[in-house]
Amino acid sequence: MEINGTDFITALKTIGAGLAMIGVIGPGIGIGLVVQGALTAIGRNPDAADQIITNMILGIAFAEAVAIYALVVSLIILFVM
Amino acid sequence: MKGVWILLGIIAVSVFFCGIVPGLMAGQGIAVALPVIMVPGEKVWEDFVGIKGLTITNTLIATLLTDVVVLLFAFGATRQMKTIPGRLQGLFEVITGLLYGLAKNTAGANAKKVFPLMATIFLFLLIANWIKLIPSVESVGLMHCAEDGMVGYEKVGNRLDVRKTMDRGVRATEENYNLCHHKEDGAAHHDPTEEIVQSALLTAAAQELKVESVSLKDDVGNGSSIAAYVGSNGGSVEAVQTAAVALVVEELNKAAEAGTVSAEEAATVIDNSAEVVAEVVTENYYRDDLYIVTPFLRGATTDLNLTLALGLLAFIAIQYFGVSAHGIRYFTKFVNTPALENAGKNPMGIMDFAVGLLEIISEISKILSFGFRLFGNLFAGGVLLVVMSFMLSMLVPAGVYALELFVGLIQAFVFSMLLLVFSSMAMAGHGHDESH
Repeated sequence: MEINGTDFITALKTIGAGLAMIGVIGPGIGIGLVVQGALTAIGRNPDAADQIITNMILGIAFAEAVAIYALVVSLIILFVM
Repeated sequence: MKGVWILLGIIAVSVFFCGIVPGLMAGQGIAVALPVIMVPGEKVWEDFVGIKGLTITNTLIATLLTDVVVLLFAFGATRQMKTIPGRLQGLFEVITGLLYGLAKNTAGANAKKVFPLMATIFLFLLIANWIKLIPSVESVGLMHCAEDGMVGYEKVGNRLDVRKTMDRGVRATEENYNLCHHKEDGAAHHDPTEEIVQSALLTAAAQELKVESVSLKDDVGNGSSIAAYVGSNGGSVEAVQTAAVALVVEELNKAAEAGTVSAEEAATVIDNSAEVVAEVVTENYYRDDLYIVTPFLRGATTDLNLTLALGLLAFIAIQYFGVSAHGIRYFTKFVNTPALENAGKNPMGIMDFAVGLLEIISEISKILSFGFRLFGNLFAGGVLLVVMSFMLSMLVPAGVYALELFVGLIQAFVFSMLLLVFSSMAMAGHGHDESH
C-alpha cells in the first residue's frame, strides 16, 4: 500500500486525537476522589445524604468539565481541522 | 409481579431488536452502516421555502420539536388543574416540587427569582436529551450523495447496501460527489469508447497479474488508478498497456460493426489508441454510487450553537440577577474599587483588586464551560451509541442506551443546578462587609 501525504496527515490527526484524550486521566481521578469523599460523609451522617449528593454532583460536573475540554480538543482535531 | 413482567418484556424486546435482528439480517444486506459523524448540524433543507441562506438543520428541527413537547407537557398539565391531580398533573407537580425544593435549599429567599428559568431549562434539556434516544432519531432520513470527506455506501433500491458487519464504507471526495450528482441528474457519465478502453485495461491487468478478473470498484479502489494497482501488485504497467492497445482495437472494430460506436469515432480512437490507453491507465477512478443518509432529527443538544446560546443565556441571567440584587455595586466584584481606595489602610486591597480582575476571566469562561460541558457529553454520547451499534450489534448498545438515559438526566440537572448556584452566589453578599 502506498502512503501519500493525506494518509500521513490523517494518521497524525488520529494519533493527536488519541493523545488529547490523555487529559481525562486527571478528571477521572478527581471524580473518584469526590465520590469517595461524598460516600464517606454519607456513611458518617446518612441524614445529610441529600445535600451531600447534590454537592457531589456539582463537584463531579466541575471535574468533568476538564475532561470535556480534552474531549472537545480531540473532536476538533478529528472533525474540524 | 406486574412490574417484573414489564421489565422482562422490555429486556426481551431490546435483545430482539439490538441483537437478533441485525445478527440475522447481516447476510441479507442489512448491517449497521456507519453514519456520518460531524460536529455541525446536518443540512436537511437548504434555502427553506425559497428564502436564500435559510438552512434548516436537523438539530434545529429537533429543537423546535423539543419546544413543542415542553409546551404541550406544561399546558396539558396545568390547563385543568384539580385538587386531586391526574397522572400528568401529578408528574408535573413532582418535578416542579423537587426542583423548587432544590432552589429553596440553595438560593433561600431568592429561590422565587431563579426558579422559573432554572426549571424551564431543566425541562427543556431533559426532553431534548431524551428525544435523542428515541429509535429512528439520528437514523431515519433523506438519502443523498456523499459529500467530500463523508463515508458513503453503495445504494440498493432505496437503502444503503451494507452487506457485512463492520463495513466502513468508502470515504468520498469532491469527484465522487460530482459524479454522483451527474448520475442523479440522469446525465450519461460514461461514453461507450471509454468503457471499452477501461474494460480492455482491466482484462489486460488481470492477465498480467495472473488473476481471474480485476474490478475497478473492489480492486483498484476509490481515488486510485489502474496503473497504481498494477504497479503495487508487482506487475509491469507497460505490458498491460501493450496488451490493452491490441484489445482496444479489436473491441472497437466489433463495436463499430455492431453500431454502438460510430465508425469515425472508432477510427480516431484506434489511430490514437496508445495515447488514449496511456491516459486512461493513469487516470484516477472515482465511484459515482456513494450515498449517505442525513437524518431528519438529531439531538438538539449535539449542536454547539444551541449549547453555547444556552450558556450565553445563563451567563446573562446570572449578571441580571446580580445587578437586580446589588445594583451597580454588583460590578465591584470584578473591578474592586472599594478595596483599592482602602489600599492605604490595608495594603492587601491591591491583591483583592487583582483577584477581582481575574474574576472577569472566570466569569466569561462560564459561557464556555456551560456550553462545552453539555455539547461534549451529549455529542460524545451520540457518537458512542452509533459506534457501539456499528461494532457490536449484540446487547451492548442496549447498555449504552441505559447509560445515555442517565447522562441526559444528569446533564440537564447539572446545567440547571449550576445556573441556580451561580445565580444565588451572584445575589448573595460579596464576601466583604457591606456596612463599612
